[in-house]
Amino acid sequence: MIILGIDTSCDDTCAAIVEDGKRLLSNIVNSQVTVHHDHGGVVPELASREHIRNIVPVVRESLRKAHLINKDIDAVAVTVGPGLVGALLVGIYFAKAFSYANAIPLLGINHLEGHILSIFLEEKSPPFPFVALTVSGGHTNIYHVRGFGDYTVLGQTLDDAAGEAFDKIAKLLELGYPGGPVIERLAAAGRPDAIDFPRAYLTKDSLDFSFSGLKTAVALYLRKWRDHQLKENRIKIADIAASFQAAVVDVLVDKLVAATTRVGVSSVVLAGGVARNTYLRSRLQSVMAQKGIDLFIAGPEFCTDNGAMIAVAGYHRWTRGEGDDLTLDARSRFPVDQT
Amino acid sequence: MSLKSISVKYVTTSVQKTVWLGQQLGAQLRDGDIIALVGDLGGGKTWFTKGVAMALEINPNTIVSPTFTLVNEYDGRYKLFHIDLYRLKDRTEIIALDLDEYFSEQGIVVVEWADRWPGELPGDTVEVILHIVDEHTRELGFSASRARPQKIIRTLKEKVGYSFSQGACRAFQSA
Repeated sequence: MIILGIDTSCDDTCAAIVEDGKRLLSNIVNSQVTVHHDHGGVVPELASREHIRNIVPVVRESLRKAHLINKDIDAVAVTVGPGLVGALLVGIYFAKAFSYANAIPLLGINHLEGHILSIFLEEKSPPFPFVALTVSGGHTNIYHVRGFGDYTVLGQTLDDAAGEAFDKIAKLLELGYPGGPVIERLAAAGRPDAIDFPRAYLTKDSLDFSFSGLKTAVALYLRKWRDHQLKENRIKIADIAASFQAAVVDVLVDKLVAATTRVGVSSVVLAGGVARNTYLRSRLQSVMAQKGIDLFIAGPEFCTDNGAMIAVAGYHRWTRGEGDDLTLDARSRFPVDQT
Repeated sequence: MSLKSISVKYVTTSVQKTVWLGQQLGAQLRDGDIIALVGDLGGGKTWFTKGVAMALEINPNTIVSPTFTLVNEYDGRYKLFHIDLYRLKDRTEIIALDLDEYFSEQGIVVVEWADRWPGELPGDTVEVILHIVDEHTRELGFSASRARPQKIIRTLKEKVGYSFSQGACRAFQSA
């Protein structure tokens, strides 16, 4: 079963070809990071216009890399949400046309499910059930994953996503976009315990996140720091970056550990753009090793948005006998437990 | 010119009070109303919107920052379109987004970083400026220049004026 997976939910036009929900044949991402640098963030509608320009060449390239032609594709899977409707529709309409023209099944996919299942593209994949943390610019979610298509949200952000916090703090620090990599680089030279920024644990049992208070705390600290820079020159900008990063990572790690205890699993999956953060990865590796929990981290190419994870999710929908017709539409909000 | 002729200012000392204030405003809204949120990063725009959502019978936990998605849509007593212009820099991007369309739809529109909109927002707009005083304290200024949103602010003053001094945050915590 060879599936073409398409994702146009945000800044990248993505197409990939995956066999049997496992074997990657090609994975093409038309990265637009250089376009976005000027804006201090992704600008989805610029992306939407770019998607229209990119979609055909990106799919062609995915076929070429896989040494396949249109008629070799057995089904097409496409992200239907969550995301900006205008951007999603580019992928959806392409997928509908491709499905119709080649008379193959059409499978609408939840982008968040794609992130959860991206780990199955790796050599080593986790046994069910497991707990997954997907963390990026758009979401910060903890899921209980009992099987393909069987997910419960255990926790999610109540305001900003973790990656969004990185981007906004990077902008406050005048470091440019995207925020994650620059803060991580800077933080490596700083002391994570230099400033005690707040960790929002919310109520005792909550697995939800809130990063807006931390954002405010860093903004207020920066105000003072800039005013008294000469007096407090022992604190360097790298210390601020390191302390901010530590505050985010502490909460992510602690809540993930709490989630594994709550539902009693012995495997944990980390995915999404922020999963590329090496400080987060190393902290999780040591904590999970101590607890005897197996940690599975999606590879860098599957952490950012990609079509391969959509093809994986599509394969499992197809094996369950599910599918969509040409009325398939975009869903700006799409909770993963409604998948 | 009677621009922003009606205005009122409140100081909230906790995020719960900011949410409560949003709820008081939200209770008076109907289709076509626009709330323009302006102010500091971390000023409480998203949390204020949670209050507006509560008044519309939308689960406030589902209201999250729209910075990444640009537009979040919710179904409540009225439809709520939660828009964020944080990442937009100029008129061409806003035109390219067709964001105008959200204002002609049936529903209430809350716009974060509304000052990035070129000119006046297209409709009956209550402008709310959120300013960080310190870690927990926010100053929220409400103003409007058109008749309909001016009436909203007058009613808000009547409702909030008394109860706010009586520990208004309780209303949020019990909800």
